[in-house]
Amino acid sequence: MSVLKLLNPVRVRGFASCARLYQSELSSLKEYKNTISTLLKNPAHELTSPNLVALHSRLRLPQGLSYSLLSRCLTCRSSGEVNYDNVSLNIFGKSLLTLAVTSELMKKYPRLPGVVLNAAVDAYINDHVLSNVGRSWGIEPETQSVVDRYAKKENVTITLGKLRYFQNSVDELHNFTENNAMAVAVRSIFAAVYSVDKDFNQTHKFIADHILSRKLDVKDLFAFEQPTRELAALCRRQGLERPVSKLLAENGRLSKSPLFIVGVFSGEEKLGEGYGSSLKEAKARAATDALLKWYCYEPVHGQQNVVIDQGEVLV
Amino acid sequence: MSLTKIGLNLSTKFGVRNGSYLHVGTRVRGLKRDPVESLKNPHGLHYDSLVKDGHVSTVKQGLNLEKYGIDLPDDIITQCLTHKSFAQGIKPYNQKLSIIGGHFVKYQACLHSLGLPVSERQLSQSVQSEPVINGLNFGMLGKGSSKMLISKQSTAEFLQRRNLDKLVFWNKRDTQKSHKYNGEYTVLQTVLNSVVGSVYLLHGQDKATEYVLHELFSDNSDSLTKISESLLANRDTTEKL
Repeated sequence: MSVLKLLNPVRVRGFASCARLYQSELSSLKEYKNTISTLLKNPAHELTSPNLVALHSRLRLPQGLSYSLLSRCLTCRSSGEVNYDNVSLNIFGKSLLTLAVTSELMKKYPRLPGVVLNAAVDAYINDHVLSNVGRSWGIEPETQSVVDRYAKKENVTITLGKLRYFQNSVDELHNFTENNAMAVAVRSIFAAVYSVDKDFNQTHKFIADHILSRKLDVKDLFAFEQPTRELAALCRRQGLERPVSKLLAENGRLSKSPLFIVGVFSGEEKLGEGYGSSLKEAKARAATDALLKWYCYEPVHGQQNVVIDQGEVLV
Repeated sequence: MSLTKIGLNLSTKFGVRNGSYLHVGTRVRGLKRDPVESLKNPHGLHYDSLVKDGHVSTVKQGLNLEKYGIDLPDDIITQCLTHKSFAQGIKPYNQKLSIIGGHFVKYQACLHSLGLPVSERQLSQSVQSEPVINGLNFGMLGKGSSKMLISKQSTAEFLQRRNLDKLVFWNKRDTQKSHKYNGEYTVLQTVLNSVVGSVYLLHGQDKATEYVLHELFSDNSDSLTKISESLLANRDTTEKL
């Protein structure tokens, strides 16, 4: 195409009108985007996003927790809302959750080894678990771009009830994924609940209902490398007699699938029992059973107030 | 290598064990160490002398526990002063008390930051936003001052100013190397956290809150608040230079 054809007056007028149209569309798009920020940052304005109302009602959040604050909990820093994101709420929410869960676990299992205790806390409140909690609460991620929403003439309050984040990194290690964003939003909601009453016990109840009510078998978190040696060290430390493994029952010793049942005893006290297709395996299982019974001890309510553990045995 | 003690262990049910050798001096793999030698902290204090020589009451006075009506048993104080690295964990150590205490101190530090008034710097930085949510100043969380309040340096300095660092039982990774290599600040932090943790577990959350607010986050010159402020000021001066 020659330059003369490009400079055809009709064609130039067409470009100019397109540019004018583009400018007007752009300005109204900017206005659409600014409306979202204005609504979010103005706590006096009562948001009527159906998602926010549903989430507030579903979680039975306190009345003092405004829709504006709830929307802020769902707004991550990567979404581009300057100084109106959930970063600080997330920090406080994490602190609240960690204290509540650790405290509860230590009261329930006072003898858990430190590593297992940390693993159990993580199993309750890691990003993956919290993101599942968020999905079960009905939090939806915002998957459409602003332009798409503008083109569909979607009401601006709709997006304020969704999880708003931007996945802006291709590096898998440092990627802020949907799971991360969902976990941040969930932690922020716990902090927001605290901010209403400023009462740890109320927040603890909310945490207990939504996090601690989930089932976790702490026995699955143990992995003993040398159970018999560790049991011997534990008995020595606790002033018990040296543990002795005794064969309690056996079946098919000379067959291709023998079964041995071994009990481990400290004096007359039976500490644990295990089975296996060899004596060695059964002995290790018996020692593991005894160790699990020690570490996963649960005080009966009212039996003893507080148990301060000495720490796990180091072998 | 020198022979210091040869004894007979008759306690086993299955026979008499031969003489046991307890080693003194540098560590030799496979040899059992003499408790007289091994149960000493880096400052030469023996573990048994903690209760015998009244060091436990020194700790209670140093931490002002009686002022708040907190009576921790001697064995718990001893446990708080003992790190996991000491004597291969044969003595009760403070790991788990430190975990719960650390989380509680962190929570209280968050509350401390939330209760601070909004600074002019904050207002200038956040032009259109409101850092206060339901009366709590969320703008300070995650900032340098908030982190420094419960940092390793601050808590270590807290104990050092009260002369309690010499009563801590731990094992250095390498005696010839610096405190940073050996992680001395981390060890001292576990001691303070475990004291708070034991108050939290034995006396409840209210008493622990009272202790943390009035002893750790008060306006005293030896409190964590003042220590962290001075550490931040020193750091800023060093950076400017």
